[in-house]
Amino acid sequence: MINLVPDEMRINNRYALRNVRLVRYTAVAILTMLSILAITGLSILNMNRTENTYQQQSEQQAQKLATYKPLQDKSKQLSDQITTINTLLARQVKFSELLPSIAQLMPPGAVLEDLDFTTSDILNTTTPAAGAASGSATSATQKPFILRAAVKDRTVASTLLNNIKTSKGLFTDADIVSVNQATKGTSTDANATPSITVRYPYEVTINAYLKKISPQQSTTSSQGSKTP
Amino acid sequence: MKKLNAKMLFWILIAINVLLVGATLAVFTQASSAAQKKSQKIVGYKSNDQANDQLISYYKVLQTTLNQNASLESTIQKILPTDKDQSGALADLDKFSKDNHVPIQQISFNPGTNKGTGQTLTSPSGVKGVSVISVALSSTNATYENTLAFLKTIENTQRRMQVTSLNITPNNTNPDLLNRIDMTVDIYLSEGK
Repeated sequence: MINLVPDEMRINNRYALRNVRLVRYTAVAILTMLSILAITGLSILNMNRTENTYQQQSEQQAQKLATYKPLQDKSKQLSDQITTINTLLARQVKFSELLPSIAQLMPPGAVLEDLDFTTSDILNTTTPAAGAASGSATSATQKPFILRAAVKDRTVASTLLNNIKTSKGLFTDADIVSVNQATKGTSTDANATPSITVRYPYEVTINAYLKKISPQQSTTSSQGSKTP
Repeated sequence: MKKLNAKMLFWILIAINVLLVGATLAVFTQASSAAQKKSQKIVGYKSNDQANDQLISYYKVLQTTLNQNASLESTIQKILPTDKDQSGALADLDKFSKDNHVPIQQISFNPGTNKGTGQTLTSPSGVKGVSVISVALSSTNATYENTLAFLKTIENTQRRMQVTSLNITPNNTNPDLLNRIDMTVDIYLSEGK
């Protein structure tokens, strides 16, 4: 079949057909863009509403939290005070428990002549390692606790020294300074009755080195026997 | 002016389509970015709200705990008073000595090193925020058991006290009797805020 339509009209017809398709495409593109705009717009509106809700909630909570400020201050103050009390309790040295522990070291035939303690003799003010040191190193750096006891004889004095040395929970080391026979002329106590000098005629002086205890242990380390 | 024919319209439509696709992509990108920003803001508020909710619930528990322990403050005040209450301390020590049959011959208060109004008698304790009043006590002729009981009472009394030095001299004939007892008692008090 011979197409007798002129060339120009034929080309126009072809473009016209293409244009119909293109118009459809354009419509679809416009619709797509409008849909995206609508969806996004609605979403952002919804998100704005949610944001406002949360913002209001946040403000209400901030107001509520502000009302708890005095409570917070009060609890902080109480907490600080309890911590301070706890610190004081941890540093406590119980002489009522320490005395029986020392008395228990006295062998038969020995009595204490006097005792002189201070908490600084016992509480560790340096590092725990320094307090745990023993032997000559301790003796070289630590002020001794002077223990004076009246004893029946020199053997009792040596037993007392051994008892002190083996009481690792209480003392780290001990040295006898002197063992003197208490006679009337040399007695340190003028009021001493004859009976005590007869029963305990020797006076032993011992340099004992108290075990430095860390504050946490101070209330528990000396819980030995309660009897003198 | 050139006449609009089908071919020219075709090219115009192509251009419009290209522009529309570009505009769609741009709108999509912008919308996505805006939504992401909003979303991040909402997440921030939400997590903040949740944290605040948690905090409020903790405060409620704290409030309940404090209400249940209403006496805590007064107990703390008794343990570590802010006032030195010298007369109270003296009365306590006197009562302890009488209750435990440890007669006290002398009670002397250390003048203290702290300066300022209301700070007399007090010294720093070595613990932050705490001062001490040092009291020297001398006693004669008390038994060993009574002395131990006296020490125990001081150590266990509600108001924080600490025996810081102790010197005892037993009797020459009866070691259970103590001729002389000298001790220093530190009475603690809060420096307050």
